Amino acid sequence: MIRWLLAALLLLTPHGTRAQAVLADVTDPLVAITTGFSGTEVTVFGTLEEAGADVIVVLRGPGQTLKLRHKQRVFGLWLNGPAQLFVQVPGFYGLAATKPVSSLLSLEDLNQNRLGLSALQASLDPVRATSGPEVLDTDRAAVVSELAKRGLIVQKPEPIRLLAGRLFKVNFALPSNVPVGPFQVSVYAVKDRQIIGAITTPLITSQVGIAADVHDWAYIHPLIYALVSLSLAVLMGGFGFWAFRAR
Amino acid sequence: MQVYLPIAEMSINVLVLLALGGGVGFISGLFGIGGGFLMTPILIFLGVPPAVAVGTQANQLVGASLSGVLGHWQRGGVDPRMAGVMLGGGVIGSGLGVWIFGLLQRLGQIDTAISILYVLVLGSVGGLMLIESLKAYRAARNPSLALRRLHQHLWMHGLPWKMKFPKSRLYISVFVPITIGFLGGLIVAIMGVGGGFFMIPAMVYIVGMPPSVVAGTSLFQIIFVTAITALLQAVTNQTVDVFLALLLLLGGIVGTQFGVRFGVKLRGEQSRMLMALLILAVAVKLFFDLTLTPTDLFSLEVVR
Repeated sequence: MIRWLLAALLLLTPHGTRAQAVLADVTDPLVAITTGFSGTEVTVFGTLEEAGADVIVVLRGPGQTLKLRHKQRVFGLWLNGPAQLFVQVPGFYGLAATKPVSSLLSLEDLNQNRLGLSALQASLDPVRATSGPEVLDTDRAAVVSELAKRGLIVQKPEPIRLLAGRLFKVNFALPSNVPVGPFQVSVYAVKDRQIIGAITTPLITSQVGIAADVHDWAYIHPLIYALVSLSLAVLMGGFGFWAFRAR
Repeated sequence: MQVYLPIAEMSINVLVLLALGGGVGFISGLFGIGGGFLMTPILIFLGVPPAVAVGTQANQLVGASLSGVLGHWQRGGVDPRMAGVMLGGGVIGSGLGVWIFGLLQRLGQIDTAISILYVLVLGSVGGLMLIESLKAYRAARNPSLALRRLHQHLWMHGLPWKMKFPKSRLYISVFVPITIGFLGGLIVAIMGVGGGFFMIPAMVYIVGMPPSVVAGTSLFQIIFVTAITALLQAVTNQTVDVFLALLLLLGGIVGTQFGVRFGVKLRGEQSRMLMALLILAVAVKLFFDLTLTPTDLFSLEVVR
């Protein structure tokens, strides 16, 4: 859905957009999640054709369905209350810009392109909303703040600095709990409160090596995986007894 | 040094896992219990998804219990017939427990249900043990108090289908161990623990088994119930993380040996009193987690 919207938006963006107004790429489009993975940095770099323009960089993770529950007090105990599902919530959302995005674009443009935390929050898509609009707003805010707490939503406080007015580079820290799947790096060139160009490149996070093999086996051959796990535990238990017995 | 856990999909420091396995292993060696009732809440606290913590624990306990039971077996501390009868109840209990687990998961109440169950089971078992061990402690210091009979005759000794258990020197109805095994199996599936903290007191006080065969028999039975549970969890829910299980097991095996050696120095009632206090402490902690206003008034989870 996001990708479809984005593609549509890129096609429909008015005011004579030139595709070459901005060029950008990522240093390493494949983030390998190995056994030693503990988070990583993703570097997005590029150049603006026109000096004097501003740039907004957004990194979006694969869409996920999230279930939010309110905790309620029942007979003195805190229980999980009714659930609200949100679909196609980006599994990661990182944003950086040369200036605060609210000063760069109109509210309408920000919301259309989901730029900035308030636009992201407003775009959260509930499944058959069970509550009124005010509750829905607090629910959306709760989703954003929970994800931000986990390091999965980041709005960089420091502005991007343009070298020679045209070259830019920005780092995003992906935490170790980053979702696995296709990411999208979108870079927008902005001038006079208009998007004058945009470019999107893919980025993929993927489990590789032993971690990936183990994950695959667990899902593709669960019975074999279960038996191997059990055998390893039995072997280790037996070995432990023997090792301490031998002394 | 971080390790990425492929099923939990997160990374944790290896040393933390080894230390956790070692610490819990020490306690389980000391008291002759599996220690799952400590391990599962700590794993959840470290950020491991509750379902993965429960499933992985079952797998880990197979190895830990095996490592423990071999020593008991050599010393003749296992009553295989009693374990077999209990296992019959345990398999049914485990199956029912997995079904209840799924039902509560669909209702979104599994974490609360686990917490309430922990508070109830740990609170009552710990409380009963503390009272009993205090009595025993006083009796040991003051021998003039009446000696306990070898075992008491309670209502359930009148139940039918009696069976001889030569190793335990008992002639009792099979319904008693089957019921205890059943409740144990239920606890394994829902709480992600071996159930020793519940079965050991039940075997001593309700069945009336001699203490020398209680720990070994309980461990022997737990190996099979946890193995079946781990198999079910891995096949139906993909919630067994083999890396996590083996790292915890590695620390656990070493810790258990030290615990066993240290435990020899403790007297029976002292050891039971300490274990009762530990169980009560976990129950109190979970009780406050349930009743105090949480810092987060929302819970957020990814739907797969």
